[in-house]
Amino acid sequence: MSLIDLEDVILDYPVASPEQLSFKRTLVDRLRGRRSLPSVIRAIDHVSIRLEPGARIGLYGPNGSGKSSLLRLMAGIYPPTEGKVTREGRCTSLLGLGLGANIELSAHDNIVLLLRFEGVEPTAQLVEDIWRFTELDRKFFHLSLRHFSTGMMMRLFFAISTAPHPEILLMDEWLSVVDENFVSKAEERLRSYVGKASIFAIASHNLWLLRGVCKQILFLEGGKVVNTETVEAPAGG
Amino acid sequence: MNPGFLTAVLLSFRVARSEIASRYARSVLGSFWVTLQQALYVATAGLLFHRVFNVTLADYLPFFAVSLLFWNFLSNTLLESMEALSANAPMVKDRGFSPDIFLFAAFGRNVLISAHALPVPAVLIAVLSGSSLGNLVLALPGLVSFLVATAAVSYVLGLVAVRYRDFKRLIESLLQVAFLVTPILWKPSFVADQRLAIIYANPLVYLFDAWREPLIDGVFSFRTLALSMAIALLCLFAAVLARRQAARIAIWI
Repeated sequence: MSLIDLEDVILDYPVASPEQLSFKRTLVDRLRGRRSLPSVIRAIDHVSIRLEPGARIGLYGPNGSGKSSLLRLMAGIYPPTEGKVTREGRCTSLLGLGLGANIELSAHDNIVLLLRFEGVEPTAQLVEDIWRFTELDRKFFHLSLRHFSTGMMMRLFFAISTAPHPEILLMDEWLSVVDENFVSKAEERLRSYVGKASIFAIASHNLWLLRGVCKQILFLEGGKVVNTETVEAPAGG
Repeated sequence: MNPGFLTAVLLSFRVARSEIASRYARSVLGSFWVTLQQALYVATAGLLFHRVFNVTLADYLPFFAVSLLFWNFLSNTLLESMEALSANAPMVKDRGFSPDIFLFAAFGRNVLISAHALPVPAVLIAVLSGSSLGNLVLALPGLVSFLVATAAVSYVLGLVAVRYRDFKRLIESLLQVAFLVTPILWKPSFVADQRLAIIYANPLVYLFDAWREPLIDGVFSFRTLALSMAIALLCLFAAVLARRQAARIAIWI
């Protein structure tokens, strides 16, 4: 059973000055009896959300509205400053466009290693299924990721992360990098999760995309949920 | 997603192994370059310094070879652990994998690389020092202390280096000084000056001597071993305290 429960959660980001990031400077200041603490920016401001099996929510809002921070709280990457986060179930996060992979390794070796990270045994069949899903040319299979474009890597990571069927899948501004053809394929896979009691949350600037794959859309502004929209007839759902 | 300690250790060794494989993928000798490099360095420096210190080659070479190997291991592990999290920022911040994995991987990677360089001092010790298996058994507890202390300190430094950006440079300078004041190039017996007793204030002396003395000279001292174990336990305690803060580290990366 999967669950994400955020109870009145606050997240404050430390914003340290260059002096506060310096060990020597901090040490000297302490010895002089001075102590300066980094200031904070409130990224998430009193948010409560409860996601139960089958939940598919979209997070929509301008840059800096707190979409990524909220996803990182849900993933347990950031601990809340105040409030409580409960999470049950195997969770996979695809956040940021930073590439969570070793680009020196081949596609094949990355698949094997990343599956192990997810706690899944990389059987030959699974590795093959993942590669097929990417629809990339076979000649890239044993090439290092240095030869891959960003879109190609996104296809690969999406395929790796969704193949073992995570109980909780969290995605950031993400499908925007791959081409239309792959987006529809990805959407189809995400919709297929509905019956499997998983939780899915995605952040995007693209309201049209969110309406296509989500049941509910939360509108964020300044770290607060300002509006909620229930998508009438979620496609395929 | 947040694996336990043992899972993180296992994963870190897999990461370390694949990193080494990719690092040496395009070289003919592969990671055995490390062995060759070590042999060349030890031969050159050994031949030079035994004359400088005016001691026999048999007395100097095994000591220097094994001390240098372990010093390089210690120093590289500490320095690389301080880059581990920034180098793997997307893995921790975007994919949510435990920071433990990448901190332990710096240790694991250096264990594996050092293992490739190990034949050089091993042969020298067996041939020139005439050490037996018994010596090795006596050295084992000291070796464990050394490894535990290295792993624990690298873990703490790896976390602190994320919070303080100038921390790595500070440790780099400290390590350079530590190399000089720790008996790696020289042995305390080379200098019969009582004023040098100050060197025994350096904890690294005990972490090295606890296994090096039984291994090379066949001398086993309970006091040295007890001190090295106490140092290792202190380091471990610091790492356990630091690990409580590890959950907050992603926000600083």
